[in-house]
Amino acid sequence: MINISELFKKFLSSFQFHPWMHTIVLFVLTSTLTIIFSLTLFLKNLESILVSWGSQIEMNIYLKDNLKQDQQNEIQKKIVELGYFKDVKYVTKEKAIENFFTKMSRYVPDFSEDKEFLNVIPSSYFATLDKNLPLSKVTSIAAKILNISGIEDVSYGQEWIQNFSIFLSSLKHTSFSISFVLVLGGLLVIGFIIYILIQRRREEIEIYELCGATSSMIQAPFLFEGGILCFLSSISALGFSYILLQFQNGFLHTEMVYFGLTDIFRFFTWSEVVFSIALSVFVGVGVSYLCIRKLNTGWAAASRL
Amino acid sequence: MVLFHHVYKTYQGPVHALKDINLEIQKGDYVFLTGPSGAGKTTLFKLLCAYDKPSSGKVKVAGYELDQISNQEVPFFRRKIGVVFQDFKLLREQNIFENVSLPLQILGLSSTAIKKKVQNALELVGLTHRWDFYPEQISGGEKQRVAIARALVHQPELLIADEPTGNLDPELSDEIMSLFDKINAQGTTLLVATHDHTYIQKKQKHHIQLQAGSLNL
Repeated sequence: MINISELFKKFLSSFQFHPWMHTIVLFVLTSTLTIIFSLTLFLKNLESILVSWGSQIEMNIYLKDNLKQDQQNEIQKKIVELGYFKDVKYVTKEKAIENFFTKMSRYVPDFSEDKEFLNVIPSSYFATLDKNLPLSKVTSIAAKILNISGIEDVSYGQEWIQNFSIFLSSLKHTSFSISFVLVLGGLLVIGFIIYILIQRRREEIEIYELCGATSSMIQAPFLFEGGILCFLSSISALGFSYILLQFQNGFLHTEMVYFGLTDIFRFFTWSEVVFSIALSVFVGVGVSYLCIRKLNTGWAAASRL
Repeated sequence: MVLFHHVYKTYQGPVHALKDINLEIQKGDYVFLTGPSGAGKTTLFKLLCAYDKPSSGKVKVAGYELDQISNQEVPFFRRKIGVVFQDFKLLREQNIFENVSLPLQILGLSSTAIKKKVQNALELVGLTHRWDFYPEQISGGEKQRVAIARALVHQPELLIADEPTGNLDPELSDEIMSLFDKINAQGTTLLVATHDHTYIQKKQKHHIQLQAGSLNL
């Protein structure tokens, strides 16, 4: 009896007769979904920061004094074999001193006169971590290198990375907790608003039951309406989330350019967009079904007779 | 057409809404159901429309055993009857034509057949000229006539009307009652619940009286 064009006609007619109610429902659904999508985007991008900043980490691996050439070669082989580095360069003691003086002579002109200090600087390996390595892994990589015989010390800005890791990890956990509560709240809001929408049309259900409509005939228009409302809301919410992301990127580009985060904050991929819309429609239809099932018992009018 | 055999209905409390009801209405009968408030009219009405099941006893309407009917069967039973309520129960979002055609749409009839049958039903109640009006654009009497047209359009075996003139002035009530005469003359079985004894006396029809849940025939 019911086809898609008929369902669509019924939805339009319902919208025409309850314009305010539908507008309010759309507004609430869009706002809730915008919050959910923006939070999801934030969490997704937070993960990217960890990965991206992890790939920029460089390590200085200091060697013990008086190592023979074959020992040095063995150490380099072991470092490379760990598989975490895209580049490992040997820096001789002399080259390290030269670099050090070049950098320091601007600040302390007499530094080069201190011949005793020259013996303090050891030869080392300068290693760049491979891309896609999370920041949290750097500490364990450093520990593995320290276990290699002939290594004196490893330096990579430990304190900064550890603090930043802790900060990001707690931010991530907090965001997850907040977004979990928000998503749950959002689902409740969506459920409640659809429930009210259906409750207001209780009489319609009674009349259909009275005329002998089966459950599927009665429920189909409501499920379609729930799905359509969530479809429209999710598209609007994705649009708003995109605009918010553009604002955020604009801010990062002008105010926090040194952090290099502009390219990291990206919008959902096309498949994620399709998934978000499909999930929203599924939630809309599901919630509508749960609400309508409570009313369309076959005896809806009985309670009011 | 309608058979009640030792029917009892007890609600929590316990409240004995119906006590040992035995009733038989034959095809083509025109029966009035009366009784003061709380006598059990609404409960009897609920049982007749399959809006409730008896606590005990047998209820058979239009070939369906309503004391044993399953939820899946209820819609199909309701397609066999027509019901008119005091508060009309019209869809506000649909025009008169669409409201009257609802039972036919549910039956899955073709649009040509629907158009023809709705036209006949509207002709019977004298509302052909109002087919594209919405319920809020017509009077109370016209709304009730639309409700009657909807209850009749699929040619049910039994028409049940619950206080059909309860919201109407005497003139409109006369109109509706004349309409029922016409419908009954065409062979439809009628059961009309009403408070208005003037019609019962005037029509000289079969009269069932409910008193504190029991039947006085």
